[in-house]
This record gives sequence, C-alpha cells and structure tokens, in this order.
Amino acid sequence: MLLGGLVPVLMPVAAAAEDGDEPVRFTAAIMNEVDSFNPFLGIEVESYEMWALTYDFLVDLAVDDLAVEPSLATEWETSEDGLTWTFTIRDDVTWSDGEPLTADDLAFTYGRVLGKGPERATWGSWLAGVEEVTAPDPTTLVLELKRPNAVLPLVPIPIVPEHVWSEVDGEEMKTFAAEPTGGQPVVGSGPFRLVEGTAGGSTYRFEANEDYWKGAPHVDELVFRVFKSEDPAVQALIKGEVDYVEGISALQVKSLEGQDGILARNAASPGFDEIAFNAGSIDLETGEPIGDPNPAVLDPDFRYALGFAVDRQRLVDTVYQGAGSAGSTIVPPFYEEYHWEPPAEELAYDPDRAAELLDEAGYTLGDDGRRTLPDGSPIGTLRLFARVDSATSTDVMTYFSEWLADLGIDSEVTTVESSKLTDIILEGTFDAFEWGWFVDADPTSMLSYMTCDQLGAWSDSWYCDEEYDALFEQQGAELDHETRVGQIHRMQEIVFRDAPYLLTVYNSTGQAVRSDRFACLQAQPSPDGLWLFQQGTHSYRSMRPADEAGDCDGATDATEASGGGGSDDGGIGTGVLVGGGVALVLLLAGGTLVALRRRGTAEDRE
Amino acid sequence: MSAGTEARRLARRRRAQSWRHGWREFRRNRSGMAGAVVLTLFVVMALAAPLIADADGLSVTRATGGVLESPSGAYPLGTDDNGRSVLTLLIWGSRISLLVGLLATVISILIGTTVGLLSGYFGGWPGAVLFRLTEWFLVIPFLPLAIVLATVLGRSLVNIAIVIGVTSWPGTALLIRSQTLSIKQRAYVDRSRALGGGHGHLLARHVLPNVMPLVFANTTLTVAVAILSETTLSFLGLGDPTRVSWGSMLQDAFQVGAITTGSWWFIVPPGLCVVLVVLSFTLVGQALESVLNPRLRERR
Repeated sequence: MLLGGLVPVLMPVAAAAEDGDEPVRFTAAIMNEVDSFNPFLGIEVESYEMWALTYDFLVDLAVDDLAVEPSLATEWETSEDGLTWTFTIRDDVTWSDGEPLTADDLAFTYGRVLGKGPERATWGSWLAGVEEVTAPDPTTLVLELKRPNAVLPLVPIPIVPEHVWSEVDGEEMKTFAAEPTGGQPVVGSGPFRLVEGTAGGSTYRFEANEDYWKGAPHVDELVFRVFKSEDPAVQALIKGEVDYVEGISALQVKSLEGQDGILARNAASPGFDEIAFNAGSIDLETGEPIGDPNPAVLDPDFRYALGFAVDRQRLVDTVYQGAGSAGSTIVPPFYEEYHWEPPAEELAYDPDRAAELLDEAGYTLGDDGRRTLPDGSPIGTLRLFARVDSATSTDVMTYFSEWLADLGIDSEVTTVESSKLTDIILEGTFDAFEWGWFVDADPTSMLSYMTCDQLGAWSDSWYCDEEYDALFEQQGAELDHETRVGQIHRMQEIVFRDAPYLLTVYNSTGQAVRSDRFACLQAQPSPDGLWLFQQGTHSYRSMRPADEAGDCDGATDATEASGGGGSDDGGIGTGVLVGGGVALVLLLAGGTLVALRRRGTAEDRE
Repeated sequence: MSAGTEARRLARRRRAQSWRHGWREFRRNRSGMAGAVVLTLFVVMALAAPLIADADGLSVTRATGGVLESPSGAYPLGTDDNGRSVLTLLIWGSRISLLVGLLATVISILIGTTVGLLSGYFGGWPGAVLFRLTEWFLVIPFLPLAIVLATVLGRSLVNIAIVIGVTSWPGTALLIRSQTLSIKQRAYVDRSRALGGGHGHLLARHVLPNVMPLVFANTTLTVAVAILSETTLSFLGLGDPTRVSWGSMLQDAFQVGAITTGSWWFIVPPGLCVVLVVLSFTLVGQALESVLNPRLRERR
C-alpha cells in the first residue's frame, strides 16, 4: 500500500530529470525564520518578504530610485484640502483561485486595518488620519481623511482577498496562519504563491504565478532555506547548495569577491545601529519614574558629551570590517532628501572635548580618578547591555565600555537575548544598550518611535520631548513637501542634541549570488542597493537563469551572468582545508592517546 | 603518652612511605607523566599570563593590528577580528578556561561526593531517594539542561561554572556510592560502631578517608570534562562574552566567518589548546586512578 502510494510521486521527478526539464529553482539562504505568513501578525523582515511575494500593494517603489510608481492603483488624485484621495484600481488582476481582484478587496483590507483587531498594530500608522475607505465601483477606491496625511499614497499594506479573509473574524485573526492547507497554495495575487512551508519552519517553497499581471517570473520555483549562522550559509553558497546569501559579514564578502561564478558585495541599506540610553523610564499610568536608570544618563548634556568619546570610524573599520559608514542621525543618508547631517565637528572623535563637556556639566573627576555626579556623589557603574545574537553588538559595547573607562566612568557589559533585552527596556532597569533599526522609505514610522506616544510601545529609549512631538504632528499633516522636509530635519537635530541615541554606524548588508547560475538581479536603489529584500519584488521578477540572461531586457544595474564554472565541481575551498586541518589535529591527538594507552598496557603486562 | 607519639610517628612514616610508593608508581606510568608535564606548562602559562603577555593586549580600543592578519613576526599567531594578537588572547584565555574548569569541578565533586557518600552510607529510604535523584540527573541530557540553566541564570563566569557543576556530578556520586557501600561492610567499621562510634565519626574517620583517593582521581577526570563543557557552552554563546576563553575565541572565529576567510590561526590554536589540556587531564586522571583505585591495583 505504502509503496504503491510512493511510486507515482517519485516517477515525475525521475522523468523530469531524464528530460533535462527540471524546474528552474532559485534557492536563497536566510538567517531567520518567518514568524508568520499572515501579514497582520508577523514582525520579522523575512515575513515581509514572503508577503510581498504573495500579495500586491496599492503602489510600488521604483527599483532605481524608490520613487512611488503605479501598482494596483494606476492613478490617483487628491482634493484641494488633502482630505479626499481617489484611486483608480486596475481591472485586469485576478487572484490565484480565479476570482477577480477589485477595489472591494482593497477597501476590505484597509477596513480591517482601521478596525480594532491585531491588524491595526502593524499597519495602523500608515493610514493615520483616514476615517473611511469605500469602493464605489470595482475600479475606484476612495479614502476620506479627517486630517491630511503626508505619507499617502505610499501604503505598504499587502492586499488580501476579501472572499477568503472575510471568513476570518477578529479572534481567529490572532491565530490565522495563512499557510497552504490540504495541498492548496495560499490565495494571493503576487508573482509567487506559497506551496510548502509553515511559520517557524526551515524551508519555504514558492511556485511562480505564470499569469502574473506584471509578467510571469523567469524562474519556476523559489526556495528559502533558513540557516542559523552565516558561515554555513556561505559554505553552502560555495558548494552550490544555495544560490543566494544575505546578511553576511564584510570579511566573508571579501573572501567571496575573488571566487569564480559568485558576485558578492556590501549593499547600501536603509538602517542604523545605535547606543541607546535610558532617557527617563516612567510608569505609563502614574507618570512616576520606574526602573533604576543612573541619574547621569537621564541628563542630555551627559549623553551628548559621550558622543565625542565614540570613535565611529573606528567601529566601522574594525567591528563592521569597513562595511558601512559612521552614523549621525535617525534618518539615514540613504534617504538623501530627508537626512539632516550634523556639523562635522560634532561627530568627531574627540575625548578631550568629551571630558571638557563633562566637566562643564558638573561631572568632574573625583580624587579616585573616577567622575562624580554634579552633587559630588560617585556615578557608580553604568550597566551596558548588548545582544548575544549579534556579534557586532557585543563588540561595540566592549569598545564603548573602554572609551568610558578612559573618561573615568566605570561600566559593565552584560549580554542578553534580544527578547530579554526588550523586557529590560520596558522595565527601565538599564543605563544603555546597543540595537538598531531598519528605516522605511518614508521616515514617519522611524520618527514616531521617538515620540512620547510610543513610550512603553515602540520607544526603546524612553525619550520624550514636547517640541519634537509637536513637530511630528505638523509634518504628518504638512502637504507642502519642502516645509515637511524642513520639519523632519529639525526633528533629527533635536534628537541628535538631546542624544537619547548615539548612532554608531549606518550599516550595509553583505550579499552574494551565484552569478554562474542566475543573472539580472536588480539593485534597489541603483547602483549599489539591495538585490533582494527590497521594497517590492523587482529582482524576483527580473532574475533569470544565467544562460538565458541576454541583456536582461535592458534593466539598468542588473547583475551579469558569469561564465566561471563555479567551484562546485572539484576545487578545494579554504573551508575544507581548515576543517581538514582541525580534523587532522584531532586525529593526531586521538592517535597519541591510543598509542600512549597501548604502550601503557604493554608496560603493565611486563 | 610516649606510646601515643610513637604511634603518631609511625603513622606519619607510613603515610610518607605510601606517598613515595604512589609517586613511584605514577612515574612508571609514562602517559601520566606526559600529561602532567603538559599540564604544568599550561598552569604556568595561565599563572604567568600578566608577565608573558600585556593585559593591554586584550583591550579592543588599544589594539594595533589589522583585521584578521595572518601570522607574522609581530603577531606570531596572527590577529583576531578586532586586531588583537591571537597569542595574547590564547594565553589569557587559558586562565578563564582553567578557572571555570576547576571551579565547576569543585562544585561537581562537592555535590557528587556528598550525595554518593550519604546515599551509600545510609541505606533505607534516605539512601534510596538520593540514589534515585542521582539516576534522575544521570539520564537528563547534559546539553539541553545546561543551555536552559545558562539562559535562566544569565551569562557570567560563576554561573557557567555552576551550570557545569550542577549537571556533571552524578557520575562521581555513583562511583563514591559504590565504594562507600563496600567500605561500610568492612569489619573495622562494624568494630568502630560496636565501640559506640556515631554516624558522624564513622563517616568522617573511616569512610571518607577511604573514598578520598577515589575522589581525587575522579576530580582530575572531571576537570577534563568541565573544560570541554566550558568550551562547548562558550562556543554556543552561553559563556561570559566579555571575557576571553578558548571557547569564546572559537565562537568569535565562527561568527566572523574564519572558515570562509581561511583564517586558520584564529581556529586552530584555541582548539588545539583545548585538546591538549583535556587530553593531559585525562592521562593524569587515568594514571592516578591506576595508582589510587584499590580495585584497579588489585587486578594487576
């Protein structure tokens, strides 16, 4: 019985292999599991990528310059007062089960987000000010606002099919998996559909949507494999088990650069890492201080002074091995227009200036060579927290601790799991920690994390400033672009001078692809942006097998195919050599042990 | 009075004699001697670390080398990802590795000996309960328990020693228990009990001194396991990452991608040191066992 069941499954595979007609499969290594395929529940970057493959959006961001371009909405217009937005929706899009995608599906999805359920937590901020969403006819979507929203029309909310999701009510939503059931793929409208995989699993398999309205993808299957650390993933790439790795260190990129058939580089990415201070943890209900922050870190002058003790370039060069650039403000220069750059002298590494500022603020050196609080009592030991799951995190805090010691301030580095650190932050039982953010194409969500409203939620520094909050409200409703940019610049300046964050590094993302097998991955933005994990699915749609690459249909800055036969057919990698060396040493040691034992017993017998 | 001093002198002479005898026997065991020599070298290196290598070499901000430089005159074993000399890290790492190993062993031996002694000496339900406890700990898989404990307790040097100590005592307890059971049956113990010796007296005066050699031999073997465990846990990122140990060096090397970049000088030296130290502790332990364990000696 069992055998009978197995044979039909095995047959087609064997037949396909004989024909040389195997499906074109692109395998990508990822470093983290997908936490949910339900776009209203997940929080991990990997999950966002899976949703983008499965669903479509109102608008897209261009691959070259991240400009807003039509997607499900072909055009849109605003009323004079900015309170009514009317979108024209495409009429030629169908869901993977054959149902047509209409404006009703968009109205349904946005309606869920405007409701009270878990949908709101993830996406609510994008629809700030929106009062009502209606679909007067299948190709028209109307948003009614009570105050202008500067982010529109950029709404990166995946559009889900009403005929499937309307059956999922509020309570069910909290556990709805949106995974393939009974062999049926997930219903979506995107270029790929999930056929195999479950949240928290280690592989996810997608099949191409041959009827995709933007054009069928050039690969038949996408497979994501979860690796728990980087080096095994890089080795898998070298061996040819995967075609793409991401999130690898600059050293790994450098060692891959020379390899035939592999294209590797550090791509510019919109994120930063920072040292964050406890700027004043309070109980949200009573407003009373909670936790036990050191009085020194509550003082903006103290925090600002420490900024001069951090050698950002040194961190870039050693901890980040040259991949990235020195950090300054919470909106990365990746978004050139919105970024405000502080004067160079305020970003310089200048321990003398730091000491001078600390003296001025009253943190003078005591008799024991340690600095004291303005009231003369000792500062004590600052508790610095690093994340154990990040190699750079511990290193950065070790550097910071040593720089603090040079200034006469004692500190102690503790490493904890990210989840534990979140608890510590909410309890306020820390002085500083190291973490980072990934910044969206519109800086609104990043800017919101520093407002008083976000205390106890997304805010991790407990920073709260009235002027900043007022500006945040203004820029959200400001329709004049220039004025809004000015407000955003001013907000960055406030945060920079109050220094709840000391930005260390604008990081980059190490990526590598098997160019002997796949070509035509596009960088977003061009020329040195991300190949995958972009805003949208550009590369997944443009990539194609190396032997069919041609000119990639004229796509700019697409990866080229390389003729190098790859190293999966013989060459001995350094990894093998090193591994072999270690094994040899162990064998020798073991052999010695056995030999000694043998001689011992022989002696004993005499 | 004079008879007492005479007896004491006799006892001292006999003790010295047995030490000499034991030492002679140990010296005849060539592998044990080799282990002892290697071990002495490592202990001297750990103790003299501040003299051999400047502690400043551990500072990341004062590091002078490049990122993962291969071995050269200035850096005999190359540099790590922060530009520190791997040799300096190796020398200072020996301190943490040995310290944690010894600390864990002390904890493990203390628990193991106490539980083994009591469960062997007291029959009846207290002995049975302790024996079940030992068996229970014996079947718990080491690594998951150690990982859970390390996560709950937090990452520090003492905690990692506690984790290893708490998870590695059942072997010792079983060994001590069996020895105690056999000693308990000896005639002189019965005699002493007949003369009115209490439990405390019997345990301290007659049982413990007789299981002590076994404890001693077992300690040396446990250190080897403890050091290996420390390396394992540090490699898994459960050690104290702000201090350099051989395990944390291996973890750093792995995280920075030393295999892909071919930086063998960051992987092989700490790995080799762990192998050598564990090997020599095992050799010394086995040699001591053959000298001190009456059963192994009788067989010959």
